[in-house]
Amino acid sequence: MRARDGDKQSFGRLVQQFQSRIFAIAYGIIGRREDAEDITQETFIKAYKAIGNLQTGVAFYRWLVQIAVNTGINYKKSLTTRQSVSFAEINEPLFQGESPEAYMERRESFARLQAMLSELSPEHRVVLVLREIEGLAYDEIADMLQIPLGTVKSRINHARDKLRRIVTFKG
Amino acid sequence: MNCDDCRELFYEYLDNELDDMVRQRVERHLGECRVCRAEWQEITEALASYRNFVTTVSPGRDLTEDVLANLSGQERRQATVSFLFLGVAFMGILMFVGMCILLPLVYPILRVGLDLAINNLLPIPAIMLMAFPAAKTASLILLGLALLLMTWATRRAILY
Ligand SMILES: [Zn+2]
Repeated sequence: MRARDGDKQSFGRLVQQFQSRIFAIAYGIIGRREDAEDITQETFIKAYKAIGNLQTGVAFYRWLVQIAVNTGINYKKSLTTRQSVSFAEINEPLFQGESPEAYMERRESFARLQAMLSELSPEHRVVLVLREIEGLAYDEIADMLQIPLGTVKSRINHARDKLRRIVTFKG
Repeated sequence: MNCDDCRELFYEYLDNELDDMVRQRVERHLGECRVCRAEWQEITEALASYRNFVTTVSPGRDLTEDVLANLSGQERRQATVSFLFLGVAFMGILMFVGMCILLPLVYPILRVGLDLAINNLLPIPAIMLMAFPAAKTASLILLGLALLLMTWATRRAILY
């Protein structure tokens, strides 16, 4: 029992260390804070249960990301009725000490982004988040999602095409 | 390099996937062409804005406690279930083993007791009567008297 408690403590440190990055991935896939929190929690719980294959460092993090991605995609699937709602809800951006005008502009661009992302499928949002936020290479993404390299490329570029429009539409 | 060629290569340029020569040609074109430069800026701006969008939202709270509490809860539930399961299994085994040990011990005793009762105790009245003819006569007289008494008592009860 004592050893188990020790496990949990050190696992708690891992949660603390990685939660914001895992949360960002979940948020990029799901677009709603509450859901992203759920996915983040679920990811760590699944990871803990599979702790037998616990690796350290980069490998562990990569493995965690994979669980988060799978959880995120399946989470979406189980909530198809809410799919259209999540990204459409306006999430107020955090105030970053900017001028009110700059804040309003950022808020507007966030709203446009949300609308744009809601038009993408979860599968597209997954590759986008893995490429643009996690900085993974195409072949790493293909490996993780078990899809062909060409599919990864076309999904990312489709998502980028879409994103470009938020700037084009601006004025 | 013309504009279409350049735009065609934007994403590969972005991903650093072009070999040096092609990359330099793209850069040279971007330096010369305002239209393509604007479009390139559009892409980088959109992606920067996307990164900002995804990374500025953070969990509403530290999720560590939630995760650990959830794990403890699950472990407790699991422990309870396995405790119950083990308990039932243990009782079952105990009963089986107990029966295996006890029955062979108890069976002869039960058997002897039963034999004793059936073979020895039940015939005792008959043996007594056979052994003592006087008692036999006496008991018959007693039986007759009891019958008479009952008849009288019944008559009395009905008539009065
Ligand atoms: Zn050009």
